[in-house]
Amino acid sequence: MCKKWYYVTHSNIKVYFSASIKKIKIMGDIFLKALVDGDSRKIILIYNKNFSFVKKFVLQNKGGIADAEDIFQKALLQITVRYKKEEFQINTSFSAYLFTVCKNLWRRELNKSKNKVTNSEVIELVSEERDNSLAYLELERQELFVEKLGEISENCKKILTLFFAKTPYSEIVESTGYNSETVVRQRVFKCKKKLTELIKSDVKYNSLKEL
Amino acid sequence: MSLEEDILIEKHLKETLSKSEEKYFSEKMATDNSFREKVIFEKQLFETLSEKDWSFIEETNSKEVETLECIFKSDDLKKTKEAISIAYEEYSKPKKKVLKLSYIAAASVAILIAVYSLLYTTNYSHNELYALYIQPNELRSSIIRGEGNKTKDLTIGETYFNHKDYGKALPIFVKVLPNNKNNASLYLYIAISQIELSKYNEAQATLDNLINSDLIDAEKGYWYKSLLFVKSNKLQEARKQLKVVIKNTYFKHKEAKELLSKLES
Repeated sequence: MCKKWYYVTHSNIKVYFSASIKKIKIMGDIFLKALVDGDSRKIILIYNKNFSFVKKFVLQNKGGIADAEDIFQKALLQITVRYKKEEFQINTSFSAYLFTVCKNLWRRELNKSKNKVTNSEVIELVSEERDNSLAYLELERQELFVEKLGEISENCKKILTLFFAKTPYSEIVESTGYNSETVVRQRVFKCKKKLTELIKSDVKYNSLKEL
Repeated sequence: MSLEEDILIEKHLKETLSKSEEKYFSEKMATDNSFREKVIFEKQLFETLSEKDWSFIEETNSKEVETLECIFKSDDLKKTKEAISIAYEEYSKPKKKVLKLSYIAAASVAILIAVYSLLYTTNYSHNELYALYIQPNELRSSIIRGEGNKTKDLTIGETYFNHKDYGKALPIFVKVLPNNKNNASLYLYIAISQIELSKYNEAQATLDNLINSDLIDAEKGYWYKSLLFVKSNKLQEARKQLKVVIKNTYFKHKEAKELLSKLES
């Protein structure tokens, strides 16, 4: 049987979706509070809904099940601390937000093991709490940079994405249609300048600039 | 920043500096603070916005890190950590599967045969009889829905109890009892934990408290008291309690009859 909302009128669809968004936000708030309150019954629901996706992602990206468990727990702790500090509201869904945090933490972990090869002593000496604190600020910085990259023009975003991926200038010329490498260089320079201004003028950067 | 400086930094980050450029770059880094800051920021941009890299904070004395460390070390966060672990344990327990009717029927017959042979064809030690009749999973959860924070400790306690970790469960239950004196299940959780930990006198006191209370489930105390006596090998006392259960048709009076006949055979 079709659900009732399939039959609603165009104007009602808007109401339905805004109601859905409201519901998603309420669920997000419930999960955030459950984490802060240490409510294991509701945290089980977070596991039921999200862990399989995170596990799949980690397994597909050079990790094992134990890594997925570890990342998931770390992500929940990161979110708890952030909520304690700022009482923020998640604009997307809790699941999407949690998945992004897990993805970034796993990216960090993969790079950490790369670094371990050359810098094992330093890494070993860091306590769990300090490592979590550093991860917190690194995640914050990463989110701010990505957010600001999203605010510049489409053209700049495209050219900078290629540039940061270390794409050779000759290839950037081909994929963007600019006349020469010199023009691309100048364009990269201007776009980067704009991005830097946006990042540095954001209040959130104040606490990150000393790092 | 000039375009020349930008190109120099980019070459440094891509590790394509010539020897002379490298020398110039090192000198500039040592003498020009503003240039050094630009290099650090550019490195952060590169590492953060490249999908494959990650921008680590290396050495820092930032107060922000100290503040965060305090939060991560706090008791509040330890509580969250514990709740996450409990949730994960629950989540990773094997899930119940839907079985075909034929399997259920076959399994039921097998169980009936096993139970029959267990109950009627064997002689048991007092410990085995206790294990046979105590059914901790039958206890009604003492958690009342919708009471959020108040039930947090109870949830943790019940989780430990369900994992048979009575040593951890008992102090939690005892702690919350003063605020939950109308909760008969809580007395039973405490008494069973005490029995399992061989604290028989304490268990008897707990069950007497339940029996002497005005609670509707107070009568359940007699059945569990008889099991307490079975476990502690005070079989005479156990018989006495079982007779009370049978005579008054209290909770588990049928099982009481069965158990009494076993004790007397």
